[in-house]
Amino acid sequence: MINVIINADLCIGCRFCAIACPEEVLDLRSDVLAFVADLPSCTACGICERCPEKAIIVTGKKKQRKTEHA
Amino acid sequence: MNSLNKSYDVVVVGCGPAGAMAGKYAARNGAKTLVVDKKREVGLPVFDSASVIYDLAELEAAAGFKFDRAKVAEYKLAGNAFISPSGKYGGMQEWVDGYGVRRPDLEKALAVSAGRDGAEIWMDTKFLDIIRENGKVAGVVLQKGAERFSVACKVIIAADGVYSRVSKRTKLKVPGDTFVSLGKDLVGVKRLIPVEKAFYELYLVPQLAGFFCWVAPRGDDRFGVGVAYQLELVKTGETAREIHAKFMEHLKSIGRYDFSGAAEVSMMSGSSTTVKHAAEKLVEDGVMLVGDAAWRPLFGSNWGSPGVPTAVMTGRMAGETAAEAIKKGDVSEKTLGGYPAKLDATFKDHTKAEIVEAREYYFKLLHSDPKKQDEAIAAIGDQYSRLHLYLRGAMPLADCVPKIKEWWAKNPTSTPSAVK
Repeated sequence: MINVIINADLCIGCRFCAIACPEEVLDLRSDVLAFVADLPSCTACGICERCPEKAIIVTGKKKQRKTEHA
Repeated sequence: MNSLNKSYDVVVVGCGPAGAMAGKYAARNGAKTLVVDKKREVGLPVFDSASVIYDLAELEAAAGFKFDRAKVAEYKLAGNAFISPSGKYGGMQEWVDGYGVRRPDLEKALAVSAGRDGAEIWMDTKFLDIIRENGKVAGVVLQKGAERFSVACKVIIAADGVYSRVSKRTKLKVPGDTFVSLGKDLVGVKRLIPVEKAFYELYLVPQLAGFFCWVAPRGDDRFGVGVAYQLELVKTGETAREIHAKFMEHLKSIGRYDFSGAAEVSMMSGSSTTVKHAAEKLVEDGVMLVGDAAWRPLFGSNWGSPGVPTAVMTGRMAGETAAEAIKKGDVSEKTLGGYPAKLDATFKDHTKAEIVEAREYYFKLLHSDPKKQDEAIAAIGDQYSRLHLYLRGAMPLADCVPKIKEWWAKNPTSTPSAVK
């Protein structure tokens, strides 16, 4: 099952995930932390896992992305 | 979804510097204007880790009013300079009216002036979608809390920043490649080497080749210390916090500052986009892009700096053009094209190729070996400081690039050049 898990302790609120996500699943609002705004649209592409703080994990991906931070 | 039965000429999405100015100048010129922003408070959170304005008077001229400087201008900055890997100052470029600014107060001043000029502003209101009827812009879908509703409008101005949700719903391309920045505001810092005037300092750090590292003075004992970088540069998996710590270690090792008694009073981070994927077109029928949503090579700024002067300028031009189009009763791409035409007239002095070249020479310095960087700063640091200011959208390229080019031709390096 697809899920996007954000570790709020690690999130620095940089907006990377919100900018990178092609489906607008992630957003930042009100405070500086990222949150999952639209999970049903998530295709589990895993782009957000490139989070500079490694604060995001996506479950239910078909296969692991080959490179992280490469 | 409900219709609010409200109708506007212009809806501006985003109430940052670009959106506030688009709203102000559309309203002032007679268009019924609504500005929406998903944040609860204008200016917060802060995504600008440096908050440096090189010419506040110029910004005031672009905005069309004067700021309450006691609120906005926090600390006088004399200019920008480079600090070579061995810790030597080089290439001071003086600024006319530069300041470390209180970014939230600056943004609030812009929004207040928009409100006074008749723009309606709704905070805590998220843009969801564009409504089109017969292919023409007819309104927007908005969300406040759990409630979704529509309002009618003729023109949408996208001032929704680097991730521009609006432009994703148009044929206009948006930037894609990402920079991340992290800055800390440290107080109780001692300068170990006294300076006559405070400069915004750009550091070349041996352990962080290609990274953009700075110290932005915010008081005699208070300094913004930050890093910005393309994610691709991180080969060994360090987090932004770890990279920032590396820069702090470097600052300690070159002995310019004593951080031992420093308190961290805030941490700011942000993301931005490189110029490579910038928007080629800024308008289509009924839609205009401004500020970071309109990022394009003309402005060169590409490392996490949100570019307030550019935002204010593009917002104002687009607001004025939108109001004219409403008066004419024609919001086609052709009429709205008056805005990019004004922009081109302002920045006509450089071609895209020249700007790309300038940017590559900047990265060449960032990626060179430390010895070469020391030599370059000693020899042409002043030209690089000019180039830096240019890339921040501050001044014409003038003759700095030919001089930089000439020096590198005489001092070849085997290190890889620009990041592609």
